[in-house]
Amino acid sequence: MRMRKGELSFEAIIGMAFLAVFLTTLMAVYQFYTVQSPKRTDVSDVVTSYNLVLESIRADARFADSMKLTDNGVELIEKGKLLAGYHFISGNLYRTDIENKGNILMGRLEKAVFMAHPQLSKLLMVKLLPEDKMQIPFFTSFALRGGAID
Amino acid sequence: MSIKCRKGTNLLELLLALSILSAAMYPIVYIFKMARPAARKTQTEFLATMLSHHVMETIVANKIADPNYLPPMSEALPVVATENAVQQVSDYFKFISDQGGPVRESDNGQLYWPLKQFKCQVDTYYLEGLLYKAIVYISYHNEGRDMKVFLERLLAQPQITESEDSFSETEGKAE
Repeated sequence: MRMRKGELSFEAIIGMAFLAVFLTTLMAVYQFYTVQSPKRTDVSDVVTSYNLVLESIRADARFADSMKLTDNGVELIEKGKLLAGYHFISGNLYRTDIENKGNILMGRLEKAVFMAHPQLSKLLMVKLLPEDKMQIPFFTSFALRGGAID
Repeated sequence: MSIKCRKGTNLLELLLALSILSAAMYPIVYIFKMARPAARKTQTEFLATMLSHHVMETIVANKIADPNYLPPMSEALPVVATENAVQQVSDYFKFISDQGGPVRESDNGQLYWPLKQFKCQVDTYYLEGLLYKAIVYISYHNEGRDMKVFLERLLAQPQITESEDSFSETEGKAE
């Protein structure tokens, strides 16, 4: 009797499919495990540090209604009270809050400039120049919204 | 006498099995895609985003100072002042140097050279519902291609000052 031979049986192919699903499940479990313990962010990445500065000042500028420029930075003021201060000391950019608690936002800076726009009193311009000249500088501005809905 | 033997797979069964196998492979591809770190912005793209943020915040500060303010449309203009340049510096970058003028090479080379490649353009549209849309484009060249980073914002037209705070902002990138 003549029999038709297949290269692979139907059951074998289905078995391979189940094996693929099983491997996927194992990989998913492994991925889940690695997500639970993320690696530390590379602190030397200048863009990561800039993002931190950007988010921090943006959050403060949302509520601040005026600013006071100091010798080494700026103080953001909300309804006459200090909201947050940004100070450039010894190559580091510090943020201080109401209770004068400070934390370093970014290090290894050559220069940090905070200035008000000459025509717009509620526009804070920020420039950060890193020590490493090969890295990009930071330049952007923040409108002091004084708590207005945005 | 009949011999019972195991049949091979016919074409229909084979196609069915392959389709099941393909479907089973999709989760593997998905997991690999998920495991890959998200594409990070290049430094140039990040700088362009910061510049568009500067322009948009300038528009917001103008709006706070004068609720009737609407930003004008502008063509693509450089963001730094170059010696003997035909084009003038964009209005949004005329006062950004430490001295209060546009950034020049002689004032601050560390800021001048990274910003030299960018151009700033603002498009504006009057929309229904007395809204006004401003789109800020920061353009630059990357590996021979024209790249654009944009931010857009809806502003209320002066007639409806009550709802001026109803802004919305989106960000994007175009090639």
